[in-house]
Amino acid sequence: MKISSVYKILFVLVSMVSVSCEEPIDWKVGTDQIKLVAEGRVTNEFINHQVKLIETADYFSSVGPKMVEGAQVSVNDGESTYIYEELEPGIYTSVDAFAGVIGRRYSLSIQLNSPLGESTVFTASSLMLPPMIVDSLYYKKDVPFGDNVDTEERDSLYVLGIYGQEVEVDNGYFFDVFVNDFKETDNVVNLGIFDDEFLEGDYFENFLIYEVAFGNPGDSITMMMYSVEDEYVEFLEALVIEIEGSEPLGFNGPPANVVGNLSNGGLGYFYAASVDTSYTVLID
Amino acid sequence: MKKTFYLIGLIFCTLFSQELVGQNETRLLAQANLDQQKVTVKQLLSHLNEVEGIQLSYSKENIPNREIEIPASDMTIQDLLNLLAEKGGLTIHRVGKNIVLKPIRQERYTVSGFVLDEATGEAMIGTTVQIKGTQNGVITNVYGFYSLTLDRGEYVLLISYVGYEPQEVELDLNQDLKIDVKIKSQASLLEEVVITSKEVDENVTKNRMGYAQLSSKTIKNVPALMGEVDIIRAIRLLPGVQMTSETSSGFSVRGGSPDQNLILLDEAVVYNPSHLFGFFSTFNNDAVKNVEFYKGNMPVRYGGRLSSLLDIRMKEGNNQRFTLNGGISPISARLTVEAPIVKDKGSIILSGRRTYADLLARTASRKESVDNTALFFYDLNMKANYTLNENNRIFISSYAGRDVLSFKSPSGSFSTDFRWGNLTTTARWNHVFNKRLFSNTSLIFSDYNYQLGLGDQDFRFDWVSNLRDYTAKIDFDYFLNTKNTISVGVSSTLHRFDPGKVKVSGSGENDTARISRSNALEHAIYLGNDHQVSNKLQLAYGGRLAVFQNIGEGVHYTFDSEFNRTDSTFYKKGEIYNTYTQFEPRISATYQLSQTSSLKVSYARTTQFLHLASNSISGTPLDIWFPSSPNVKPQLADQVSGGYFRNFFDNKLEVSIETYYKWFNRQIDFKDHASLLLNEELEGELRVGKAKAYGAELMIKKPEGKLNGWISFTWSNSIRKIDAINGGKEYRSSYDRPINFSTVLNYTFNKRVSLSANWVYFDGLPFTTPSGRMYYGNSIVPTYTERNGDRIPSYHRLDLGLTIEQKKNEGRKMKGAWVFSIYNAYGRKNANFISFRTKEGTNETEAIRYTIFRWVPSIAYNFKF
Repeated sequence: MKISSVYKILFVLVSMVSVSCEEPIDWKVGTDQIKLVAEGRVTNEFINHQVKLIETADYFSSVGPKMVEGAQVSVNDGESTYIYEELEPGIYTSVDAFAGVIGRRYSLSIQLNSPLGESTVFTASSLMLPPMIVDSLYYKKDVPFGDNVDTEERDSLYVLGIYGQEVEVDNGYFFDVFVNDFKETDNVVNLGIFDDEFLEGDYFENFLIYEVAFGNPGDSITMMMYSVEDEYVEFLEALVIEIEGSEPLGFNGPPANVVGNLSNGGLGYFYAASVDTSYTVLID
Repeated sequence: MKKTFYLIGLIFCTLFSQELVGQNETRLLAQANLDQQKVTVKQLLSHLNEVEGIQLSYSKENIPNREIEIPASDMTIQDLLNLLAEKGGLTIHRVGKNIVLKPIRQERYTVSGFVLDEATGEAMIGTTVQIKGTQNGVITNVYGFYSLTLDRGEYVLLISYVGYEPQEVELDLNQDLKIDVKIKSQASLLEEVVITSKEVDENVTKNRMGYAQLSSKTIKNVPALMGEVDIIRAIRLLPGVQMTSETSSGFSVRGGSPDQNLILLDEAVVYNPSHLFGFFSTFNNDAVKNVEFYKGNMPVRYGGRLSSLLDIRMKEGNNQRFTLNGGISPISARLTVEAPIVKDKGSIILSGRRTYADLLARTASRKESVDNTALFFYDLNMKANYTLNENNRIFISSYAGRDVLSFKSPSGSFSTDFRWGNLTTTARWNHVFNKRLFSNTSLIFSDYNYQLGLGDQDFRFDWVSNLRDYTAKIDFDYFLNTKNTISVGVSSTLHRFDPGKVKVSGSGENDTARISRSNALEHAIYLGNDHQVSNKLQLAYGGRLAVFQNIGEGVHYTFDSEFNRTDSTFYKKGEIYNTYTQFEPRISATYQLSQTSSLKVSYARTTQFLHLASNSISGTPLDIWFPSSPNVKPQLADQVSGGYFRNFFDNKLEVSIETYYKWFNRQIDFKDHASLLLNEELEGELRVGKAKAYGAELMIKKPEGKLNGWISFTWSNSIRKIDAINGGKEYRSSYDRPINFSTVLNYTFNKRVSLSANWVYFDGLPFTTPSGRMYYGNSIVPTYTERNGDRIPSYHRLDLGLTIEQKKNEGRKMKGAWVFSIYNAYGRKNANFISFRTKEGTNETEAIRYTIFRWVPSIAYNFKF
């Protein structure tokens, strides 16, 4: 038998139309009780710290955030109580500037005029952990992924790396990156987030953590590295999953509420963070 | 005491007894009032009893069925009794004042052997070997062996199997006989389109529920996606089986999770049955002989998963002649070679399949980027068997499959390489100890592993994960008599888990992190009996004792009530630090209402010690299996089911309705936003609770004929309740599809052309939709009220297939066939999932429907020598 003759008569007409398409559809979703969402922090910088209070909204509503006004807000660190005042609607700022102290637990207390959910009183607390000391922020140029990259893109990708000592406590980090004072990390998805599960206590050498897509020689880069409790990093990671849309085929499991550290059914997070700021300037 | 004895005896035979009250000797000497010249033993006994008033004690069941001539008309009752002893095959004892009649112990002999396919010499699994004209018989075991022990006499054995010509074997059983029976496939028998002469009534008579047997031919008749015939896609058309997603090889059986299905290939566990992220399954149909599927009522021989058993047996290879077959589909090429090692004694089969999209692309395009991309999978199946002598046969089979996905950027600066696959090897020794005792000893190895690497010149990330099983087992089938087939066995498996090792290397840094490895032993011992109680009642009962042990070297973490790690304990190599023992009773009964209908009921308990950490409904190659441990108790399920089975039109149409209720205890789910990969504290992500599933399944099947196929309808519910999920309230399981309808039809126009079609309709899967949104960190984040509170729109799809065999050409041995198929023939935009997102640059949110396949036509060519 001649195998070759078998192959001669074998041929294939490949006509495969596999359309994987995504399109918007009308979908009705249920509505839920309106809840309070708080977002606030205390850092070890000597500044006036802020807490934002917002209401939840219908899922398909197209209006912007509705702020919660007229609340009583204060923060206690076990030694003093800091009173906050509402300078803009829903944005509460500490009357006095103060710097958070590493090792202290900061407790937020909110008293609303009228109940959201089932309560008018909400509390949250967070421990301030030591910062990572970044010895050096550096960058290297990289080649973007893919074929269809234009020259400008090809020449303007910078990857940021750090050298620094991780602290020997169970904590996590997020960081903001500014290019010439423009905040690149303007929302949760763009934030740099990592925990120290595999790295606790290590010295970070040549640790690449962020890509600046359109950098130019002469740009100044600022990185603010926030050391926070592990739970806050988990909260941020869950937010990213929810914002990017957790789909059933992925690795993220079914969608679920991202529960923060507020009491009485409140949403959002109040956290304490220690900050380390480092700089570099891009040179061609 | 006697009564008690009789009560016990009732299970095995129906005894009839009467007390002898004050019979005196003179009565026995009186003349009998019998004027017949010929009577049966039975008639004579009832005559003595009823007419003559003699009280006798005997078992109705064991009265020989023979006639006695009465030599004279003036016989006394004592004479008649003597006659019974001489000619009636009975012994007469006086026990006190009782006259006890017992049949003379018959000479009994055994006929045993193998049932084989005539064309290939392969063993025929699950073939009925019956004594013609009775309900008595046995079913060949998974190696094709049967054994029947009968009274000396002449018999006709009827050997029948769906799709095969029933065969009769006449035998004069006056000594132990070994008869290997070869049966002929109807397809190879007749040139014309087959219309079976006599249908098999197994649907009604077999004591099996929630069961399906699929031949590779049946599977081939289901229109295939991209020309790739797929066992799992065929299984999903059966009642009670739900597809998890269109792009997945996962399936959910009666409310269970995909990891609750035990998938065996020649006895080896296949831990991940998917290729290409689930588009295709790992089973190359060309290498498959037989598929048996049990929905939770699995035989005592099997255990370790809660919901189902998919038992796939590879072809043994043709021991009659060299054959070659293969084919090409738009995505793959297949080739199978079968050859005798020694004719009638041993054979070998080699079967391979590889996708070639990457090869085609490479040929078609000279682009560098294509050169640097690989995306393919392959399967290799090998099996060899050899019959050493009539009592010993050995097999070795092996499967290796792998997916490769790699990419290198044109400059070579960035590369990624992802590979995953299963490797299994099974060595088996069939030994016939004696005419009634069959044994199989197996040594089994199974491995699932993956490697994911990515990086550039400065930084490299390599991740590997691996699970390995080493199993030794021995199973016995003891063919006690025509009414009882006993199975007993023991097995032991060592599981070695290496869930993940990550190596990070770069210009400055080299670091390795490893999730702790662990080991476990899983043992089982079982005993079961298939029991034909009477012509109408069949029972199968037995139990399985499963033992699971965590064994060092390993580390155990203690968690507090908030699932935070509080402590860790290290165990040294070989130290057993945790043991679970679970007894699993299984019982099923079939009661024959008439020749064409039966009622069946069953109860089964199953335990599962290995669990899959998967956050996705469809499963991914990266999912890892993890063992039960002091923190993770085994999952447990109890299922009761009942059904009515009825055949119509001389067994040409098989109908069954089954209902079930299933309780899952310690059902595992995962906390919200669980992190399951590379997580040393994975056990802290688990949430455990209860689940229940119930439903009804209708199956209408026409197994043979010009028009054949089946229609299945399922109504089902699957609900979970786990404290930390959905606020502790009940929620629909992610595999819950209340309505599921499938129909598979084949029509054979003539010997060359056949058309197949299947249409499915089912409810969409439940999913969680947002009920509100919140702002945080300058982003919009959805909020939810209920887990799985909404449902994806319902799904329906029609697939068509047309097979045209080439004209037979004189002098050419090759037979070829074209297979044209179209998947989703009317192009419905089925939602595979729905996701919600914020419209870019706005405060608005929208729902997005994702559709995967619309109109997927394909052409495949298959050939055979």
